[in-house]
Amino acid sequence: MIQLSLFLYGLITAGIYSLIALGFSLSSGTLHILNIAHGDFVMIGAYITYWLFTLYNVNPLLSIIFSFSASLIIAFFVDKLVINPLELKCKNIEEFHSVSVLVFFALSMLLQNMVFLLWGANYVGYTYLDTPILILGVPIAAIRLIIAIVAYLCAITLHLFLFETYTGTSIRAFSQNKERALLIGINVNRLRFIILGISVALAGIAGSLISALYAIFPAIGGSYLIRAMCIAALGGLGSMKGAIFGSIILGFSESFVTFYIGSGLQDLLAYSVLVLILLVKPSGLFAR
Amino acid sequence: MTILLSKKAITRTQAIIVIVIILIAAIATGVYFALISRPQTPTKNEIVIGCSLSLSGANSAQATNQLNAYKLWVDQVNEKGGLFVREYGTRLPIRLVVYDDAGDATTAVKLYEKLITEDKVDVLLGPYSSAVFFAVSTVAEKYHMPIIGPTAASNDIYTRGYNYTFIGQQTVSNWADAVVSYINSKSDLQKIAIAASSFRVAMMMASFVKEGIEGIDRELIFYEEYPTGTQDLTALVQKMKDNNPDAVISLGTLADNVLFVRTCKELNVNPKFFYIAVGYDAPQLLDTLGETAEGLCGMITFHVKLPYPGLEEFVEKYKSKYGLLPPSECADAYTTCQIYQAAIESANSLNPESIKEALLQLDIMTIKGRFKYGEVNGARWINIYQVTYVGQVQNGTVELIWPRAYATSEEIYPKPPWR
Amino acid sequence: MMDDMILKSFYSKSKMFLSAATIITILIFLPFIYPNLYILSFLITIFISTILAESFNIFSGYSGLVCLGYAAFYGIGAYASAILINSGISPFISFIISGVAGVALAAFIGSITLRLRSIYFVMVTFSFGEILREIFRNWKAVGGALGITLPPTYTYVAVYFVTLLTMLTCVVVTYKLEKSKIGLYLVAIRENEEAAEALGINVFKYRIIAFCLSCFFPSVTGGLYAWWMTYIDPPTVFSILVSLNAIIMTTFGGKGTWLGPILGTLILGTIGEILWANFPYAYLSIYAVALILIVLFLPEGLIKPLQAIISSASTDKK
Repeated sequence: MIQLSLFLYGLITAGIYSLIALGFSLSSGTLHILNIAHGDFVMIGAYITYWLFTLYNVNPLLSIIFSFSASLIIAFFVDKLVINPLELKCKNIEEFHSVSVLVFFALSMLLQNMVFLLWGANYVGYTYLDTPILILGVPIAAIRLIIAIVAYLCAITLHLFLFETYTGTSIRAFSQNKERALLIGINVNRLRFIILGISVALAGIAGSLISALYAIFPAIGGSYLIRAMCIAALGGLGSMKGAIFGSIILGFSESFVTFYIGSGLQDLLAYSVLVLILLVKPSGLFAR
Repeated sequence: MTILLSKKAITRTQAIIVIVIILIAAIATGVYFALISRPQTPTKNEIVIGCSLSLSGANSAQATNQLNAYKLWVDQVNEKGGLFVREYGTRLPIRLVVYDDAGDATTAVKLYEKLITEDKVDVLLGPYSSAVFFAVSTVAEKYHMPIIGPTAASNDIYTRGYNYTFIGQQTVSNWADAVVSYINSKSDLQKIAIAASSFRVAMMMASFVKEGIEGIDRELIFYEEYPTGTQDLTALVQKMKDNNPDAVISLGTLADNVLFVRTCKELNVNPKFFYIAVGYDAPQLLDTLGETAEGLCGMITFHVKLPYPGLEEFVEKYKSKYGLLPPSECADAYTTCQIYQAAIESANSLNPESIKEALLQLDIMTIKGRFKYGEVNGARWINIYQVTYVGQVQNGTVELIWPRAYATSEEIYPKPPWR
Repeated sequence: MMDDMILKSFYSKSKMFLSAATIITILIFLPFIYPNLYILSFLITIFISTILAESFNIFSGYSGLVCLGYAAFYGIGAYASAILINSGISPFISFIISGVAGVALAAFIGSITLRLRSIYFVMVTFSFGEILREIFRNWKAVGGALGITLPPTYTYVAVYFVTLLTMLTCVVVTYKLEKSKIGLYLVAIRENEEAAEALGINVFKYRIIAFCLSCFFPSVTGGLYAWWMTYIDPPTVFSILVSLNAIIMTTFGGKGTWLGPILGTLILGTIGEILWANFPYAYLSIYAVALILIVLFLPEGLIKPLQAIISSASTDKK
């Protein structure tokens, strides 16, 4: 029954990854910016939940609302104060790219330093609902199940948002053809904020969920960013279906490769897959 | 005509460029001279001790704890007027100079150069991490200045044949010896599993433990490394569980160990002996794991209940000044200060050679036990009387269970199942 | 009009050489006039940052693509030199060999990645750095996670001069490149790739040349780092910060110019040191905010406004 347990764990890991990757795919594929602070939004969400839980005993699932809002607020400021003016000032897309890398790197530094000043650099953590429940004979901690369910629910909500609401449809129009979207009268500025906001809000939610499982410290953003990049590129930047698919592939491969080959090569595998995809089919598996 | 006019115009604008470039260079160098030049007092009226610590960056909390311990010692000594120096026949107060190296080796090297050449320190304390200490100890060696590394436990720092590098705590091989000797005392611990993250010290300890286990003829049924910071260890733990270990040894950072322990609990891995290192003695472990930590064993290099002279007093003073029990890096820091105190007071003069000789002659009791520097298995200079302990969480506190002579409580063996 | 411009360029060249020569002379004699090792170490780190920034500029500044993979070359250089020096080969030869190794790696990576569009190129170059780090972390024969230690065979003065020499070479190469045919082609490619191709310029070939050139110096510098620090391990030398710092310095100073990265490194390096000396805990936040503000007001870097001032001043005088 090893395979079953590997399968289930892979699925749960994929759920968490998908939340982070969906956001990253959205911002990089639609807005064409490389948000290298994306992982730090995960970290912010984790710290907010940790803080609320240890100080005020707020249920981690409830504090998702707070991390969601915090991410939106930060995204608002970043968009209005920085991205907007930069987009207007830069002459071409390459310049905007290199400058945006810089800006998001600075944002990442800022977020990490702020958290460091508030909570110190030590690992912090808490325990919540870790009693194992048996699913098909495989013991899984209750919190992991809840996390997986919440993650997939969010993904479904995102899908509904993108396909059933007016704003969502405008986002998809915008991502397909920016000029034409402008022509039909879509408010591009507002849309840009919404896209960035959703993208990092998802990361914040993922962070809240993660804080119940792992010990957290200010620098955890990096490894999540890398995985988000791999998955988004695998699935195709901007493709939601691709991000989910990519998360599943990565989640499973990590489980199975670790078991059969050894965990030292996990990261190497992820990057190699990424490079391969980028070289063979850069637009990803689900290119639009 | 046109040429003459243009010539003037060019000269002016080119002059602007020249001036701007030279100004920038001048300002840069000027600022630096201003920042670094401080008047040096020619007469000797104090002992200067210097170091850099990673006050910002990943290890800042531990580095700050260390700094607190240093400050505690300096205040304690200066209250009595300072340390007695034979060369001057009087007590000289101590001045501590501390810089922040942010955990970066090139920065630390720069700062230690500064400490030696500009601040003209008499003795050097090591920086926080082993990785940084490598580069810094080379600097100290070049200047023939003794340096003690309070937290640098990696053996390979000390096997380079350096003469001026001293350790302030137990070596990684000593850490490994403790757990191996414990396992040796239990004849029913036959099948051993080791999981180590790629964290440098963890990997080093893993190889020593492996050597030790094989040396006592126990079966190493599982030995795997994983990248530090891995998010999901279930596959690894599952694999380990399949081999049915009697003893599980998890080596990594605190975050790695927390995840590992939680995963073992989830998958219901219940060995007779569960041991973790590093980070076992950090207060966050109990906070994070809560009840899950019951019965968990781990590596202890310092414990508040050890019977060494001055330890109780140190713990009391630290607690009253900083509001918490001193973590192990504080004890390491304080011990290093005690060692320097003894060396300075027994040295013939304050020059580095004399202090180095004094260090090599020492045989003293510190809050961490007996200290005498020597060469063991090609590593120098390390403490030939070093001891590492094994602890166990019982009823929410960490007790010492090994070596038996130092035990603060009866061990609970085998480890009770997870709660 | 033409005469003016030719004369202008002649005079500006001579003035420039004069100021450059002054500064270089100061730098060369500094270790002997004021042998303060702290200042020397500070300057060495500035030189290293300048080399990385200038190298980044050679490729990205003139060709427009952003490469996040310099860590790969820095690390390869560090490991190659570490292994060679430990086998007894002279450090200087080791550095050259590391540089060549870096160029070989660049040729390989460049040949397979340089056809990609910008955002994918960024991701793939970044991944190469990470892949190499993972390979070295798992490769026990070269130390694995434990890294490599070197014997302390360096002297400060030697490190200083070698770094200074490397930096000057790098700057001169960039300067020559800017004025050369290749430089012209690269700028054409950067401004409008399709037009350049229509004109018959082999975009791919020139990009590869620029890429390989830009990876030579970081590899040599990695070797220098290993020699100086006497200890390297995968996370330190294959760190993303290598590329990110280079990008910041260059973008701030001005991409596409030989002077930009130097100015950027000098000014940002100074600001960084001052902030760090005075605000040990919060300096990263202040630095980050300063960075964002600077980028907002000067997205093209410092050099463009500077050039604007100079050219407007010179046209006025007619």
